[in-house]
Amino acid sequence: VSAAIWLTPALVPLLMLAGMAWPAFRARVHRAAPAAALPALAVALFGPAGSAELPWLLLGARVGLDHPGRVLLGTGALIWLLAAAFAGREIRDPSAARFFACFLASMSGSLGLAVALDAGSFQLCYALMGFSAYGLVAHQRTQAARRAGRLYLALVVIGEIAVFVGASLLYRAAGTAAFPALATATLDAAAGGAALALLLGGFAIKSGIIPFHVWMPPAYAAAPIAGAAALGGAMINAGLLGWLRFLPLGAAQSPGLGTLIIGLGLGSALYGVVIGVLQRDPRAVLAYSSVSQMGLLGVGLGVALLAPASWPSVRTGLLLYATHHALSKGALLLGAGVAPGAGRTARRRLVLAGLAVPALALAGAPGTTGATAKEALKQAAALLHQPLAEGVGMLLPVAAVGTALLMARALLLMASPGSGIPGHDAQGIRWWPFLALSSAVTTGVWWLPRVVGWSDTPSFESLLAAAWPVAAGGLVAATAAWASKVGWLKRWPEVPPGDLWVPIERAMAAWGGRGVPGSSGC
Amino acid sequence: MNGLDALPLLTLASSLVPGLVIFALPEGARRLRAALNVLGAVLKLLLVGLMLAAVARGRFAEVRMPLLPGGLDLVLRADAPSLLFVTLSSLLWLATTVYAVGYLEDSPHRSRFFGFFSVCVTSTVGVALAGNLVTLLIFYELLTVSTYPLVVHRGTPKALGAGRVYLAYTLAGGAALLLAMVWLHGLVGPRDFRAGGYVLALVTEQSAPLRWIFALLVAGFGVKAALVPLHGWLPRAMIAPAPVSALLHAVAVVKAGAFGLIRVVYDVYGIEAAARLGALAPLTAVAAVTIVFGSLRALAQDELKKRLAYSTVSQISLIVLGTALATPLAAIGGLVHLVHHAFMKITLFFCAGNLAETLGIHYVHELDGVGRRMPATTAAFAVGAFGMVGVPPVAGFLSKWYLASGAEAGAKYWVIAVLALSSALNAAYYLPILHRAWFRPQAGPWPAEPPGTIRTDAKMSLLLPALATATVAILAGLLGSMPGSPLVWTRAVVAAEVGP
Repeated sequence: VSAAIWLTPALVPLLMLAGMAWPAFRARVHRAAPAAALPALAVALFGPAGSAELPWLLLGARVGLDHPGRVLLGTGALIWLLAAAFAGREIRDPSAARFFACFLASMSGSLGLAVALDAGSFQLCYALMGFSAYGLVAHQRTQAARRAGRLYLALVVIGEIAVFVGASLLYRAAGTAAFPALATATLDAAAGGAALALLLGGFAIKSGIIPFHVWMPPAYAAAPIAGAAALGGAMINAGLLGWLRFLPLGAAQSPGLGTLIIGLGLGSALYGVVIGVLQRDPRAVLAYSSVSQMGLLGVGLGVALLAPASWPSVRTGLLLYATHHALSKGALLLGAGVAPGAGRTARRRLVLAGLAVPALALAGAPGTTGATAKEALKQAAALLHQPLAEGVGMLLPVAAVGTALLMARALLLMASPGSGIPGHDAQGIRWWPFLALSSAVTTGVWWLPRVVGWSDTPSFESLLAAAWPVAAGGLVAATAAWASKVGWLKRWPEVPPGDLWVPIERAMAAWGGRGVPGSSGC
Repeated sequence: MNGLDALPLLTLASSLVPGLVIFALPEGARRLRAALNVLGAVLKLLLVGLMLAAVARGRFAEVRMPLLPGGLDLVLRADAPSLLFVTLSSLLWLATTVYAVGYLEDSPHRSRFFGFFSVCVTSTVGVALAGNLVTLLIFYELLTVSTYPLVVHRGTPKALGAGRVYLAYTLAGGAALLLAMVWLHGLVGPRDFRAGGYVLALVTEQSAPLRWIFALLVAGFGVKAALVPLHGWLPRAMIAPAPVSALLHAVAVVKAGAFGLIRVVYDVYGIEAAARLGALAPLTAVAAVTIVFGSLRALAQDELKKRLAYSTVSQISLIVLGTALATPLAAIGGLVHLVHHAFMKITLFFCAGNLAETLGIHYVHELDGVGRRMPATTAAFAVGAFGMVGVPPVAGFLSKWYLASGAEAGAKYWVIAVLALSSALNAAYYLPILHRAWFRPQAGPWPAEPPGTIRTDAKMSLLLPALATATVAILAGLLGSMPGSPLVWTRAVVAAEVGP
């Protein structure tokens, strides 16, 4: 019975997808889609903890609900629900049925991941989510969407293969595909080190750690708003979930990989900021902010690999950070779809206020979820040995200043009339999903730490430490805005979304195009 | 001979007799022919069910008839590996028969076609049930002879050309097999297949002849299994009608080649002897080369059935690869792929046939927007395509998982790299097809849409077989660890043949 409860989050969206074969339902699926996420929300809130074996499924499966699974399932369900509600009005073109089919399939995979406790069912959900989301990225038939879709799909395939190879290297040593036995097999499998690296890297693609981030900004910018919110709020945490499930965190000590991922994470944190402020599309700015924020998750992961004893507190920090980021990023992406239609009324003030809270939260302003999450991460990093701890401690505030700057850039782009989102019609769009998510972020400072299990009253010093980067970033942004207004800053430099990939893409095109008949355009 | 031991013969007769009757039927006897075909297919499934029940009780049906003086017997034996193959081809024969009846509805020479069709399936079942090398060889040659008329069925110059190439390759392969068999007979005398093989005692004294014989056997079976460089006939043969392609790629021909190789490695030589002769490493290498080569060639094809044909070249070598790696996990992966690939590839060929029959689509570039016009066919195609890439829950995932784990068990990490590359290449030539079908608007009128058609997909007799095999391809993966699934069955076979 419990197994059936744990499977409902994944099965209900699939059933709805199957129902689309019936034309009458297909015409109404845009109204029904939000309901597909409700069972997941209920299971996350009230579902029993534990696990059950399904020995007949795939490689012999295990499903269940543990603490991280519950937290990520609940967050994911909330975002899928609101994204679906948003999509109901946004997606009304002739291909809407295809969008909702892909939407429901990726919802099923994304929610199923949280309860999948073995490599087989996890890869099933991971593939379902990853491949179906192509339909979200490539929905709009623009040049940009085709390019983004191609890049997205290529990295999905590479990521799936990396995870597949990494996991299959462990199967013989583990004797089972179930977690955590498969994860601990990295410690004694012959190719355990290679498996660890492949799994770390494979899931880093989903998280958008450099240099695997190149798909993320084009995808956010090309997808419809609802798709971008699902990607940036719900699916992005699949990378973290993969790390939690497949890696023997807390048991394995891997100084090499740990240092590497800390380096890449800090690199992402800073790189995302620098390239992000040079974007013109607010969704691309938000995507680079994700690159930057996920980099900090990578730092936490590295801490756990360097100092396994720190894992219990690092895990709480990572969960807090991931959920805080998902809610805030989801709110901002939905807000990007709402802002252009806000007009000049009280509604506009409401929208701007609704945007300001998640933006401040991501920047880590005191009194927001972001400040709590950053504090948790900082305490985890303090467990590192010197000089690494000091280095990380110094760079974290720098990243915070950058994020503040990035948020200011995103808000300015969203608020300035005329620089709206190409191809997006904000008239008649639904407001309440955005406002609901924004309220969730606002109140999150109270409920989120409780849900995740973080209890720490902020000290005055930590409040101060959280406040100054925001103030500094805001100041820089205000200066830049003023400079541009009075004409000192004539041209804002630009980097196309996808940054590092762009020259590679050009080189490939110059090298002879795509010599594959029938494959052009995918 | 008791009732049980008559089962292998009856199984052969269940397709041979309808086949012979069909030859004599007039062209117009449509219903009778279809009824005979389906009756034979259902009867065969029932007989296979009886043999399965016997094997489950530990009883193996066996028929032995003297063939040549010197103790050379014709042996049919229903052991676990043979029943795996018999069940597979019987199930797919039923699906293909239904499909072929619909596909060839108004074309000429249907009696000839279905007659040879039945003989072809009879030979395949004979290959599967053969209890020694000479029996296997007889049915293997019969398979060659009975498929030729099907390949050239259309009678066009291109079809006749493809048939000539097919005969040249397969007869040469048959000659190699005959030579190998006679040579081996001279060394060890008449022997039946047995787990662990029967040449181990000779490995030290006769290593050179045994190596040569192994090479000849691999070459002989490698022709039908389409190992590079013996694969040339297969892409040409795609000129044949879609049901024949299904027969070549899934039910009978390439599978018979792969099955022959499995018999040679496990039951003639045995893994230990083959390893001590150093025969497995070259076989692994050939399989790996074929996997990559086939995929690269598939990538370059615009003609849909040709792309599928090169995909078969590549995928069949996954079976050979698992056999040659010879670790238990890899052996499971290889053997189970014999079944998994069959269900996925037959789905793909059914769908290709549906596209050609319904809209006249033969090329990948004509597929734009077809997902909206033929949603069920495209969905079935997607199942097959994702299965080939190795995406769960389609069965291909389990094959690749066991192959990769088995390569790890044998510390052959380069093989894992080959598998990863194969998945990436499969994605590169299958996913663009799905992109075109679902994400591109229709580019113009369909190449040959019958005027006034209002149906949204292929007709039922073509659609249902495709949907049925696609469903099995998913269930074989999703319920992969349920008793009775191909995987569970294969585990038992491999435990007996290779060891735990």
